[in-house]
Amino acid sequence: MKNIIIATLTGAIALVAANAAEIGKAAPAFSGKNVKGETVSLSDFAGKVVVLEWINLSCPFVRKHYDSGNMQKLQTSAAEKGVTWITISSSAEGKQGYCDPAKMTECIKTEGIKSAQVLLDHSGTIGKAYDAKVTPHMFIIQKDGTLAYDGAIDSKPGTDKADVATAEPFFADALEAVLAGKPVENAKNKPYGCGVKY
Amino acid sequence: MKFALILIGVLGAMRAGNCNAAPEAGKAKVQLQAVSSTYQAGQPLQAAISMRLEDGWHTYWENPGDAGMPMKVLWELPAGWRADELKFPSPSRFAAGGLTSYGYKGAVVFPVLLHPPAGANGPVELKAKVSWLVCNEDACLPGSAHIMLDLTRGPSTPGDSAEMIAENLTKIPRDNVKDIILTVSEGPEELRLALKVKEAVGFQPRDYEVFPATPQVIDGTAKYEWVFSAGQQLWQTTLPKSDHAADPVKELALVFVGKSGQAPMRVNWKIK
Repeated sequence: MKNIIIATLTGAIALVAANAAEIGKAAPAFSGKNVKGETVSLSDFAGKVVVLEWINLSCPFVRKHYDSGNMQKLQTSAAEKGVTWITISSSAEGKQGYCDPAKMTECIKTEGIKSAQVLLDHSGTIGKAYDAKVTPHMFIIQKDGTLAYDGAIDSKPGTDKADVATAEPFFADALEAVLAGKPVENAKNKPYGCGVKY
Repeated sequence: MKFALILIGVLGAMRAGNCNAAPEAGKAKVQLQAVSSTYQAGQPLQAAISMRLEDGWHTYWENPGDAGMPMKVLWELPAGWRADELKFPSPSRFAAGGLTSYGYKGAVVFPVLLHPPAGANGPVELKAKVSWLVCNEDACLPGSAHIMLDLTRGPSTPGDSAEMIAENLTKIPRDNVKDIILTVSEGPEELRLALKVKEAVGFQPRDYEVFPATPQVIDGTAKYEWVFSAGQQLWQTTLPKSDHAADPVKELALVFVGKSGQAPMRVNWKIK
């Protein structure tokens, strides 16, 4: 019986991996709850450019981008250009970065998070659909729903705020290319950060 | 016990009242030591940065793996003094949340060679700011410390740390091993590794745990299962490529860590 369960689980995990996000292919559909308890789906934003940002406010790599104001600036600039920015927390309950809706609502205010949506993905379903590995891990979805970017926010995998100004802005460059209708260079690269706490 | 710790962690976070629930940084104590409290002008001096980690936390190797960050050092040295790069001892593997990392727990010593200039004289204070990342299954924390060491000029006399540093030097993989030749050939999703070993050496790759020192070449889930081809006198294995491998893969360094205390080795390959 145990072997059957293990085999089924392995099969299920393999299935998720097989459907994982691939550049140029349709980005995996998802639905999740935001801090107000409303259900939000990727399909709600069909025809728009969508950014997915995996977050853990206790992770030093994420803190680098929030303490420096970099992430909030990117979120604001994206909104001004009609991009839908969805911040997602896939930290499981009890693990670092887990926030209940009340706590996350407070954090949105404190940290000045400017995303259109903040989703609480405690079960890790959305994270695993995209194979989100670390925080921050950035994805960009084209208007036609295909995945255009899967990777790091920038080129310097450290925790020092000073690095932000001198790093190559991989994600920002990719978003610029998407908005300009140009091909995205460096569409898939290794994101750096703390492992997502599934 | 584990449930109690998680509860304390969550309560701690709530008490912190802000979104950054990391009230204690570091989880480690770091020191700078040298084999002698005296230096000689123009002569290299063996030093080391040693780190003692709290239970349950690990830090990272030069190739941290899927996530993590190796220790960084920002030196503040007297005029003319130089410090080489840190040497990283043999790592261990950590798997959490589907990610594979390479690093250390408990305690780790990073030897570093210091170079006083030819005209060095008098007492000196060597300073450094070290920064690191520690993680456990549930969380990651940054750490940093200012470390320092006072030295005076004089003949070398082995100090308290000499034995500890010498012992830890043996944990540094011997580099550019000539008796073992690694070649790598590439398929669409996989890498085929071949080791040619000079007969007299008696090297058995199955006696070692293998770590990729070059990041983003081999997938973290790879199992290094070596098969000996008597016909070609080669040990071979096929491994999954990292999702982020360069196209083509141009170089690969492997570190072999003995399962029963054999001295660790580093074998390098570069594309022709």
